[in-house]
Amino acid sequence: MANLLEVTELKKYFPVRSGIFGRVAKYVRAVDRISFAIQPGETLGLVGESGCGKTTVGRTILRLIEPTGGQVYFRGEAVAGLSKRRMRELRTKMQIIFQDPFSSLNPRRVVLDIVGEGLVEHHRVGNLRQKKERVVSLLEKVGLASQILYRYPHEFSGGQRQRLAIARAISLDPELVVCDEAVSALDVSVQAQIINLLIELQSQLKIAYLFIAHDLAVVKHISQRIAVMYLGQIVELAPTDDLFNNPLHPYTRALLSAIPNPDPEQKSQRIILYGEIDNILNLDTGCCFQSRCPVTMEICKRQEPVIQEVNGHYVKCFRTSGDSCKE
Amino acid sequence: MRAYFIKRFLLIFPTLFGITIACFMIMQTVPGGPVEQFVQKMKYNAQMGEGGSGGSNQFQSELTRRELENIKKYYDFDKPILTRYFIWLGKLVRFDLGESYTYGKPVIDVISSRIPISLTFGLISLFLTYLVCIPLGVKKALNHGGTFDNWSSILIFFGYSIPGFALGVLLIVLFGGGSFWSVFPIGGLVSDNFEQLSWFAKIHDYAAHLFLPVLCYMIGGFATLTLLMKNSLMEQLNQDYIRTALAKGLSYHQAVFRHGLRNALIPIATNLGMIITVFLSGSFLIEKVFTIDGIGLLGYQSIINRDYPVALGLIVISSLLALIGRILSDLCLVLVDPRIRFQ
Amino acid sequence: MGNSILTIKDLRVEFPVETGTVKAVDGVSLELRPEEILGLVGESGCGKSVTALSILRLIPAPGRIVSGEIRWQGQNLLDLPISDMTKLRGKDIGVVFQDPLTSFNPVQKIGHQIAEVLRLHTGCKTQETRDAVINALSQVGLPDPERQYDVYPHELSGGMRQRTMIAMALICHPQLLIADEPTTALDVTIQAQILELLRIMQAQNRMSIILITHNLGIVAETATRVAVMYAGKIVETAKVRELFRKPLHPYTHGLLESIPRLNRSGSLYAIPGTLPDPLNLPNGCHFAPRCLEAMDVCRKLVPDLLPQSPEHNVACWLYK
Repeated sequence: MANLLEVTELKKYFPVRSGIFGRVAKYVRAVDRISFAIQPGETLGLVGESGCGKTTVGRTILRLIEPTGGQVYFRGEAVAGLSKRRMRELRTKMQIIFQDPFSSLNPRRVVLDIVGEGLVEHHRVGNLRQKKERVVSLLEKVGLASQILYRYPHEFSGGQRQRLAIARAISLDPELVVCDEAVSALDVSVQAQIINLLIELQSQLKIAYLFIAHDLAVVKHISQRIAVMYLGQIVELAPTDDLFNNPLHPYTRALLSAIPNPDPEQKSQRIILYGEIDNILNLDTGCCFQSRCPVTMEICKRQEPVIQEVNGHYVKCFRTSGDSCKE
Repeated sequence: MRAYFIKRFLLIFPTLFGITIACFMIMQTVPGGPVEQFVQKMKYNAQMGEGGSGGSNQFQSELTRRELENIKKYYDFDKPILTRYFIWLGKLVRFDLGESYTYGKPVIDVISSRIPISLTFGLISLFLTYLVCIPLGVKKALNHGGTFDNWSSILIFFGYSIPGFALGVLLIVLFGGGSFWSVFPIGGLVSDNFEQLSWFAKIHDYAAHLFLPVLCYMIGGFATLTLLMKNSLMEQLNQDYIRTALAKGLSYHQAVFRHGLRNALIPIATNLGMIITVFLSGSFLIEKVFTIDGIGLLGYQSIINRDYPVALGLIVISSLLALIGRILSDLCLVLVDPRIRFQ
Repeated sequence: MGNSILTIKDLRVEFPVETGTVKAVDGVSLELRPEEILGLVGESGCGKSVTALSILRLIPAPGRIVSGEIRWQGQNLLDLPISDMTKLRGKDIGVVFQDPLTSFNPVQKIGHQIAEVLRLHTGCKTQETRDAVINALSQVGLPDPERQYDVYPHELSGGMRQRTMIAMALICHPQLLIADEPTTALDVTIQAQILELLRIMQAQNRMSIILITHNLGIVAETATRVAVMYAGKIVETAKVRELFRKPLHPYTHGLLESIPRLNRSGSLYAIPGTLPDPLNLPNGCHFAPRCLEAMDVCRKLVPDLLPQSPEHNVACWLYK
């Protein structure tokens, strides 16, 4: 199947200036040569801890941030360098849902205008009656009652606002929705409702998701494949079950074992990672995970590992290249 | 961070260049300059002397033309405006502000003779304002919504809405002139018999003369600083670390004064560098009301009389002080808040 | 029961707002035993933090404790004069808050902030305090504690700041530590470190911990006993294994089912409906409008928290 979205060697470096004349002294490599692809109707989970660059990836794909290098192809068309008009058309196909349902909705506009804005902007509706009809049907899809058309965002709970954000995102029949920590701010019982809604909408509307989150357990429930990021790089990418049953990268393993297990009978074998995420000014040589890795070797400090693939399971680690990493 | 401050310091020069060139151009293109004033005077004289013979009139206008040339030359008005600016700038670089047209003395001397007056009023009112406003702001923050808070707010806003010079007039009528209660002198800085007074009486006399004008200078400043202090402290009192301080076992009073206050003073420190501008502070209107020969009056007169060297001199010095003041403010901020790092 | 170190009886806390009164804590009774880690769980706004902060009488401004009793070492903390309360805070009961960055005074070195606790509660001399603080910092695993004494809070990483917070809460060896969402602001790998540290410190100091969290995974791994709160009330308490194996209250059951788990995938069970409006709580059981097993009585009368087995209490009409 043709890829819906293909990202090759994507880079976003932020300059750090210093000195009297503001020369660029260093770069923060927020996204560092990342490649992946998303099939139509598929969910790719993108997980990592704060500061790993996952949010920047999402925004760079939508060109909310211009990339430093690399390319993003949507349905085979290079997104960078598109004309403003073409980009506007393309934006209807790629939408985003943000983490904070309290700040991502304009507080001075009513539901009808928030959800219907894109419809009007892209001339999908001719008059107010059509706009109302479309908005009501969108609200139904996300499980909201139609009598809320003239209410303001502050009148809703966090879960309901996130439903509004979803309704807005699907209003233009997108093919890809970037969910940037879309359920992270919600309580457990509401979070479950929103995850279910996203899964349901996907099967109805055949939308592909790039599901960005820090919680592996949440990502697992919604993704077919998962990419794990650390310090701007993807260290492992695999089909969901494969990643959980056979995690290859030491960081993925530590991340998996760090999640508190809501089952007191199963005391998990925990790999406690020491130290914290390195300084954002990345290391110059070697593997990005070397300073916290429990199984680091001499070579990891000198040389950067290359990404290897076995049956769709990609991993960037020296331990996996030679002998088995299960010790 | 040192690079940042060096950069800021170096930026003073282009900024100052921009300010002075703009002011110079505007000022010297406005009609009513010294040459026009001279012509005006000559015309007036000519009209007055109309009764005389025609021949002498001819001679007089010939004289006038030559005199006019001399005047132009004297003021450098025979050269284009840009040249004049660069001549002035060239002198400025050698710390020479030129000579005042009105006083015939070096501008530096004219200005520096007024600085002690500015400093006296500036420093006294500044010191008293801080002395009153900071404790008042703290008290109001702790008493937010209470009777004291409401009444003091009414008072300071009442003061805020009265212009200083208007209060001056009122005060003189009430306490100066003698029509109501004559306790303070009407104006000036010292009494006529100041030299003969004893050492103690001198201080008393000086203080009596200062009292009313200082009050006028301060009346408007209370509101801003008090409310800044109050709001800043109230914001800090809602911070998590105050709760932590209480959880550690501090009393509320201790938590406010040991932890909240220092954080609340940070926004106030931001303005601290601007204190340096008191060297040239002074309000024309208040000085006029109290007949004080201060900087405000000097500036006003230099503009009215087109005394360019004095006016430009005041602009240069006050801009320079303001620019340095801002850098000093940033330095203060770095000193009080360890989180601030300028890049 | 005789061997509890803290007993809360029928605590009620209210927050007056413009449009009415929020009953944040609506009749909570709880007891804490020596050396146990009690997990207090619930979703946002259920009153778990307010309950715990009531113990120290640290409820934020408009809120007030309306009635109830909090017994600590034979005295009712709610009757204590404020001066005695401050002697207790930080000495007998320590607190760790959620956000370690905002919970420190940003313009004071962390060493001084910790030393302040010691100076308040003991007559320590300057050098002694410094040594004690450095010792405490090294106990919570701060590298190079000598140097960290003179560091400002913003210069530490999130995990290190929370370690420092724990050192500060434990410096006077309190018998009770209240940990209010101590890892919510941290990444998972750092969260694992901090929970590990809490367990170690609990064992070393032989203290009790009230662990407030919305994360049932953390409770399962850290707590010995659990109290589940919903809309200002405790709906169920039990030993941790018992609760996860045999949840009795429909809310507890639904909550457990709706957690994303590593060993399952696909769609999740979701409790229908939304949290009730705190200004307008439903009559009877607060959970009744969302409960699939609700009966007529549930909508009229409030169920009491009653024992089902010696260690397992539930407030639900299904178990009468």
